[in-house]
Formats: sequence, structure tokens, C-alpha cells
Amino acid sequence: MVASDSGMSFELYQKDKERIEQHGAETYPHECIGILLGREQSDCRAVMEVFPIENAWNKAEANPYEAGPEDSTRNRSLVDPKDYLRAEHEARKRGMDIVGFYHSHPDHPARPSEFDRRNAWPWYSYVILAVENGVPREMTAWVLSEDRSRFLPEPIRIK
Amino acid sequence: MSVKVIIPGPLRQYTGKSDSVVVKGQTVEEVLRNLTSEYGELRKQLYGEDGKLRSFVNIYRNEEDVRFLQQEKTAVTESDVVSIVPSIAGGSGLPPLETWGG
Repeated sequence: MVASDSGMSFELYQKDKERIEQHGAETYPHECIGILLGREQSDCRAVMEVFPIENAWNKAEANPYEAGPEDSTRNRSLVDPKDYLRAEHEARKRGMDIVGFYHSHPDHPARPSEFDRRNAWPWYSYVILAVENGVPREMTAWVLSEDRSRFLPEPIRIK
Repeated sequence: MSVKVIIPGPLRQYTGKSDSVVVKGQTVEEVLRNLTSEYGELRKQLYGEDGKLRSFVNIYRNEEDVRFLQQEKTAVTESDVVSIVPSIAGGSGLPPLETWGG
């Protein structure tokens, strides 16, 4: 563990990593997005299930963000609150919780953008998948610092 | 009348780590007022300086966004569940590149 990371280990099953990669490849050149269900222990956050959803960026009624002329599902992704609620119900039924989200960066590195930082919430884990020419590449995980000034990397441990 | 409010992970640090809280109220407004008077730190997370609910915070009564009901005047009963749903967005924010910078 390096001093600059979140101090929390982040566990992901191989099958769930592959599901996220598949989702990123399917939606390329558009961004994919999904919800991570899991459990948290003292120093470990474990993803037990991924919940792929539709990128709701184009749903006006679900989108509170100001869209610039170059913004589209190719560089933006959004969770429809109704999908959030569905995932939350599923999670609670199974003794789990919404622990984070994933989205892809088509043809861009797996590093949080300024938009990612400004619109993130502390506590959640944010997984970013780079997809290059339709092929999944690097996957990273991040958690926003409490003061919301920066993202701290969360090393991903594949189970 | 008491109503259950579901608290999302990022806001539980303001509710003593509880993932749900039962508060009194007959409308969403009363429920949120009682919630934020009990847990004062939640107020600035939910409301902007103009006193209005932040646009990145969604309030649901069961499966419905109260923005499409009677907003904060939406009535609640004991069988209802009020959920605080954070807006979640991301994205590279950059126009598509011809070549990938990796």
C-alpha cells in the first residue's frame, strides 16, 4: 500500500471484472456505466455483484447536469435514479449495499477527469475502464477524498 | 406519523452511520426538516445556500421522484419510504480522439 492511496483494499471477482470489460466493449464508442453492489468490512470493500445499466445521459428528465456542445454519451455517463433505486432494493434484499459505480472512458485513459471529480461523492468507489478502439484496457478504482479535492487510488484486488 | 428515510453511503457519516432513519412528518418537507434538525450536518449536504434542495440530490417517495409529484409538498404516510438518491455521473469529458494517448 502506498501512502497516497485510500487505505482501503478493493476486491473484485474476475467474473465481474470481465462483465465490466464486456459492457465497455459493447457500448463503445459510447461510455458504459453500472452500479457496484457489495459489502464493507473494516479495511476492505468487496464487490459481490455488478449491475450494468443504460447510460442515462440523454434522458432529460434524469439529467441535472449542464451539457456542453461536445457532451454526449461518448464522453459522459449518468445513472438514472430509478436504476439506482432498483439496485438499492436488490442490494438490501441480499444484505449488501451500493458501494460504488463503474464507467468507461472510450479512447481515453482510465484516469478520473475533472468532471468525474467535481461530480463524485465521497465514500463510493469509482471504477474507470479505458476502452481503446473497442478493446478493454486498463481498469482503475478511486475514492474521492473527504474534502472532495482529489481522487485517491484504490488498488484493485481480483478474486 | 413516522416515515422511514433511506440514507445513501456518502451521507451516513452525518447520521451516526445509520443507513435508514425514522422521522416524523406528513409531507416530504416536514420529513426532511425533522431529519435535518436531528442531524444538522445533513442540511448543507441536501440544501444549497438558497435554501432549496440541491439539484444533485433526488428525493423519492417509494418509486417516484417528488419533483414529478408535488415536490416537497408531496404527502407521505407510514407505509411510504423516502429515499435520498444522489445523482451519479462521470465521463472523460473530452471529445473523441483520433489517436489514443494511452
